[in-house]
Amino acid sequence: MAERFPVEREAGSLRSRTSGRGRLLWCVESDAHGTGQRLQYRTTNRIATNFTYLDWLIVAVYLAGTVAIGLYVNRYISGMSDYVVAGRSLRSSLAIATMIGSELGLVTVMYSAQMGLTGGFSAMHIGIIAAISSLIIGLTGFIVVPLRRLGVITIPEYYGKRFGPKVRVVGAVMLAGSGILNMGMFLKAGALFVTALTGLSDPTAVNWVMTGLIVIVLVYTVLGGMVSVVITDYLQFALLSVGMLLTCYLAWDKLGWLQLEQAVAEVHGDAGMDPFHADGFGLSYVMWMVFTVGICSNAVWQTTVMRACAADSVATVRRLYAWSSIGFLIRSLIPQFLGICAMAYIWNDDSLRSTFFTPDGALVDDADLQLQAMPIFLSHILPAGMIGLIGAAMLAAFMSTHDSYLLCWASVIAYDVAVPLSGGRLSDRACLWIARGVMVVIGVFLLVWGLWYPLGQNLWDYMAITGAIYFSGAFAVLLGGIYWPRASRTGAMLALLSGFGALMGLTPVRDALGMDVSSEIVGLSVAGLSLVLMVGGSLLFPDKEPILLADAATDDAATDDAATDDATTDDATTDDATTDGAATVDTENTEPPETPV
Amino acid sequence: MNAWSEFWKGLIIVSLVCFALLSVFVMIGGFRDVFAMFRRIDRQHEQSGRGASKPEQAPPSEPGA
Repeated sequence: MAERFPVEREAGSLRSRTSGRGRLLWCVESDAHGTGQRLQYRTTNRIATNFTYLDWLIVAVYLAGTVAIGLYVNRYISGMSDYVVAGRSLRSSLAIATMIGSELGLVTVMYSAQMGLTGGFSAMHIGIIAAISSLIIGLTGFIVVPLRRLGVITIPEYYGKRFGPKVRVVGAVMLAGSGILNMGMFLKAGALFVTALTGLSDPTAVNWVMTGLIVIVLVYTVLGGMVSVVITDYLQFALLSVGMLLTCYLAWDKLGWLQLEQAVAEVHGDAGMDPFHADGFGLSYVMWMVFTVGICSNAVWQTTVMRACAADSVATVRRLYAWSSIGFLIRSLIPQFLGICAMAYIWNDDSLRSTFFTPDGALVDDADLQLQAMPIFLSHILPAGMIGLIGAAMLAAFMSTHDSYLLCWASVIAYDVAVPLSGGRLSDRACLWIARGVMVVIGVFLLVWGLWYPLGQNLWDYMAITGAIYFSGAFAVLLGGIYWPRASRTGAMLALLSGFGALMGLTPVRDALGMDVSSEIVGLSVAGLSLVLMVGGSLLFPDKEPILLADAATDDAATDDAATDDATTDDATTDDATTDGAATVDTENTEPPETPV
Repeated sequence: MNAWSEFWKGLIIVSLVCFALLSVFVMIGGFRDVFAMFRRIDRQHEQSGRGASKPEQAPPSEPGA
């Protein structure tokens, strides 16, 4: 099925070979000593796929349906609370579907598959850490339950209540900036998937697909807000879970465990099996994952916490996290498994092997190429029709993550920057329109960033380090603010600002500074620094008039149990979106309002 | 190496089975919850007087409502 391209090698020149179904470009360069040759494959254009007109039809029907949903649910949006947290009306099953749907995005699938490709089975430690952490958070309510009790919509809103408006605005700018940078590669990853899966061979195809995808996402997210996000997340969850389970079965059936095991051993050696192996991920990387995936991604990252804030009760929050632990495991494990399958398939296919591996058996160090391995593999093993379903499911995954993130960052800018800076004079409706406008601006930025930024590292590492700009400081601020009464505004501000240090973990920045430190060491160091600054700043510069939020951190099991999904309690839910971020009360949880002390 | 291989194999199988079961429950429960969500938002709008969801019944929203 895979098309074989005759390979021609000529030192220092870019060569191409075109056949009836595609084109392959490669470049052969002499090394510094002229003793050997290093192959650099610039791109894999069209490699034969099974994608047919039927598959295009399936994808088109899905996309049209998604936009229609965005238009339909627009009538349920009348205020910021409806728009951002769907009126706080999510019950357990829908909350779990939307949590998994949002977090199991195409970008997750792409970077996890890349991790499986480049790291072997060892990469699966990430899913284990995420699952255990989510379960622990569900059982303990760590950070997320106090936030839900306070009835906040966004994390910076909590900063405002606990540390004042300045910390809120600074925290919001850092959160939104980090988040937008974090999703900077989403669009490109999505476009690479689509072009690789469908076999689009035009060199500009990635750019056009990126443009088309962002326009579709903007249309229905701008119109429908969280309500449309929830609905599309649910549809995506249904489509993707069925599609991925079927794909895993077909991949396993095609390759078999022994072939996978053998390929991993040949390409990665022991490091492909043992996550603690020094030649692979190593202990420092695993520790970095415990912090990023385990703690921050679950309890500090705004898009995840937003689901907790949208839940209809504290009990739902706990169930949501406990049950989502399976989803958090799967969202890494399945794509990583498919990435490993792609590696084994390519390793055993002569034409593909020469594209993805150097002659000495190492993976070609080209992030864009690595990202295309899994979709190319899928396009080879899946039958026509099934590819369309998987393509639609993946596009659904792409859009569900994109819409959640767009909504999240736009809401933060509108709600936590524009509103406080206006002195609380912005109306709810004005706030809503600002959020919509910001979303369009972010969409344009993503398009430009996706076209311009040279990734140069694993997509996952890029995301972890850009996220760390925010969550390194945010973890310290939330931890201190919720569980340490002596935490002060100065400590919080210092902790937040220290997050900028995480920028040094980006490959282009490290290259520019001539640093030879791994990104995980940079990330862990910044996280440690944030905690030190939070504690040191609070002890050295305590607040003269400390603000304490009553009982937010108290784990009141009786209250949790009292919160049910019963429709009668639904009626008691107050719509507590306020235009000025003032104190709000969630009567459903029978919690007292926060009281300045 | 062998122990790791068995561990990863077992993990993948168990995870896929758990996810399949979870998917069935969540798909069924989520379908019901979608309509419950619409009903709740409608009720909230009626209680707060911010306008109903149906366009023909929706008065102009008040700024700051």
